[in-house]
Amino acid sequence: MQFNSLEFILFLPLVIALYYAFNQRFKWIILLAASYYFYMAWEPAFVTLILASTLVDYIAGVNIHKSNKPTVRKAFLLSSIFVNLGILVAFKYNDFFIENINEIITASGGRSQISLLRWILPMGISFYTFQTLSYTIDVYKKRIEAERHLGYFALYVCYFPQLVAGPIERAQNLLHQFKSKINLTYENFSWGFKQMIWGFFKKMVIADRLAPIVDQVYNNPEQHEGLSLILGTYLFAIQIYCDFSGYSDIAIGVSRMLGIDLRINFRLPYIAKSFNDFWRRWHISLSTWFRDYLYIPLGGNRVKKWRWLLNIFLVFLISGFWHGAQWTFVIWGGLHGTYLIIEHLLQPLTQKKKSKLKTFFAKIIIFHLVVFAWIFFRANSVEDAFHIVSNLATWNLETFWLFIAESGALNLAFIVGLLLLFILSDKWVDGLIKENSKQSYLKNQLVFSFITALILLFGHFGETKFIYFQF
Amino acid sequence: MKFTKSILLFVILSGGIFITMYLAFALIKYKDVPLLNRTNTFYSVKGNMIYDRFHEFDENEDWDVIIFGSSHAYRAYDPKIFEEEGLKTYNLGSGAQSIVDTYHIINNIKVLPELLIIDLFSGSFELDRIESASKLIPNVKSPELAKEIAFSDYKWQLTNCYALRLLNKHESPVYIESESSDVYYRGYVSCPDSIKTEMDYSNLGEEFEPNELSQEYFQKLLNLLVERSAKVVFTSQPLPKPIQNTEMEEMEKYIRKTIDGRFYYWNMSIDLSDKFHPSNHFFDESHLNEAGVKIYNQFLIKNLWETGFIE
Repeated sequence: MQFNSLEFILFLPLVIALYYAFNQRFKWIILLAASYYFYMAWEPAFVTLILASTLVDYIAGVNIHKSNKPTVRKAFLLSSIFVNLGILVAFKYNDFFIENINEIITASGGRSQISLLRWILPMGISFYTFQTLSYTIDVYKKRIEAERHLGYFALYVCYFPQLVAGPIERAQNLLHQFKSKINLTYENFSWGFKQMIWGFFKKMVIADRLAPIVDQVYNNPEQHEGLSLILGTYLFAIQIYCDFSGYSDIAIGVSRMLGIDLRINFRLPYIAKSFNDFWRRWHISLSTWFRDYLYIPLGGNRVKKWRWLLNIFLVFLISGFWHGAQWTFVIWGGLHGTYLIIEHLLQPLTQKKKSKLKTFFAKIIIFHLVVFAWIFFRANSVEDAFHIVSNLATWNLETFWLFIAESGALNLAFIVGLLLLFILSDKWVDGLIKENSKQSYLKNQLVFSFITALILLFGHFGETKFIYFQF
Repeated sequence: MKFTKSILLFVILSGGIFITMYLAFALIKYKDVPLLNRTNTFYSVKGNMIYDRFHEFDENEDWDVIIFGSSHAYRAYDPKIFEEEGLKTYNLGSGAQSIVDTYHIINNIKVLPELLIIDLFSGSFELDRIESASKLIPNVKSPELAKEIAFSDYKWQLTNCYALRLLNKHESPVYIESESSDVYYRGYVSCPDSIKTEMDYSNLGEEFEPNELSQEYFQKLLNLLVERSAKVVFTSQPLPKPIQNTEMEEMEKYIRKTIDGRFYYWNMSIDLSDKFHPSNHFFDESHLNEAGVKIYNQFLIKNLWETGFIE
């Protein structure tokens, strides 16, 4: 079931009604049943994988917590890691490895090819796997106690608002909320509803309307020249931000309507003044996961400088690989790792005499370098990506105007207009979402009614998936 | 009380603002086309060749052959070539026509022709029919058909398209000039151009994923055709590259399994792959040009004679 579907519009009020109608003791049952239903609406059979992951990590957590023997604790931790990562690798990366083995065979003159398995990638597997891994690691590190109640733990694994594309939640933040007394409050409901509406606007009015234009460029890059490629890339930068942050807003908004807080996942990433800053603003739950469970265990910055920089590079390579079983994602991750390394190396120079003008130019440079890296993220293949990069400077105005005409000049201008409206109002609307005073009541009503009207009039209601669903 | 008051106010305000903006964008025009069409990709205009196609068609004429399907239908089946063989033919293909909409169109035709040719492409089953339905709603002749297409699966955008049709009921169709060399005849749109360069034909994916609604309506279509004792041939036009390991191959398996011997299915993308040269017989990565259509249609008609579909 997708958020932008009729099924979800019917599902959500029913879940909220049942959730608040029942006593606190039964709320987790309602949410658990709803979460499994939500997942099974996509593909019933794959709920077995979530169940398997839940049981393995529940047992591992309880036994890690119970035992004092380091070997036993480590054995259960390693079992959890092995099972979770094993399932993830098996489903997500099997064909990637097979394809590369086949290429090596072909390159070395061999003829036989291994058949691809073509397994369906279970929805959300990259997210819930990381979420459960963070739990067992935290229990092992004694940061938290193991959850004894299987029901609450199962709910932590499959909680539907954030199951499919995050935010990746830590057990410390989420588990206790399921047990806390939750009452229906106007403030929570209003805040959550407004956040959800804003998320739908970003997804359906901005991201989905940009998608066909971006696809036109990126699905046939050899037919486009520099200006179209540049325009397509900038539009993709907006598309992916609106698509993913829109999803997060919907997830956080829905959860807030249920009285449960999820962590913020985006904080105006395109105004970052450094790459460090960018990764504290973009997909925050994932970047902090990699920081806490990979970067720091590798030694972080408490090692020799060359090792520290290598750690950064490795973490970003793996982060790229997490996004998808293609070399383009690895290159994207590697680019960001390189950016961070260069930033660290240039720090002695850049830290001198900061000024508003320097910060302004830094933001511009960071933004454009991030956009450049998106080329590799969006391109269908490494060849396409390099074709785009090598043709960015080939400007042909005639071809460009033809591209504009085909996309519908007025349509494109209108989208750009909507984009500007969005860019100028994003921060203001974010503030308005949390604003619940009497004085702002009518302003809130008018603004969010207007946003809803925009969704109904200009939203794309097709079966478009969220970009991060493919991860 | 605060909840109820807020929800009520929100519904009234959203509805009021929406209706006001909708009317403004629907009634204000730029070069004869409502702003709503100008500012959205999937709100098709009332007009152009698709309007002519559906308004010129008279089901009471004695048709020998009617063709249905997506752009692969209206670009690949030339009524003139069929008429040279004595077959009075009309082409009711439309852009991205979903199998759901093919069902509605056929169901709306009271007098079926001697033979129906339904061209199938993977997109007919996989796409979400927004494009298909948004093109048909303003342009089909029958108001009942437009309503059925608009409300098959409760997509809000299609409701908007239907409302726009009602508002523009008395407006004349608009013909937005095209610079292409396309020529129109009885629903068919020909393109004499060919690519003449190497194209990247890798756009066909590997997995065929028909959506639930398409699967449901494909069954409904088959049942309808059986019920009405229709003489039907399902086809897939030739493609410029082999379909092995692509979604078209997967689609072939799905169609044969679903049809289960009740109808013929000729997958020309397998049978004719050696007769076509990608650069000379196609004008893009999947649509035949005039030269390609001639070869294909002559081969198809010969097969129809030989198998007794036409007498």
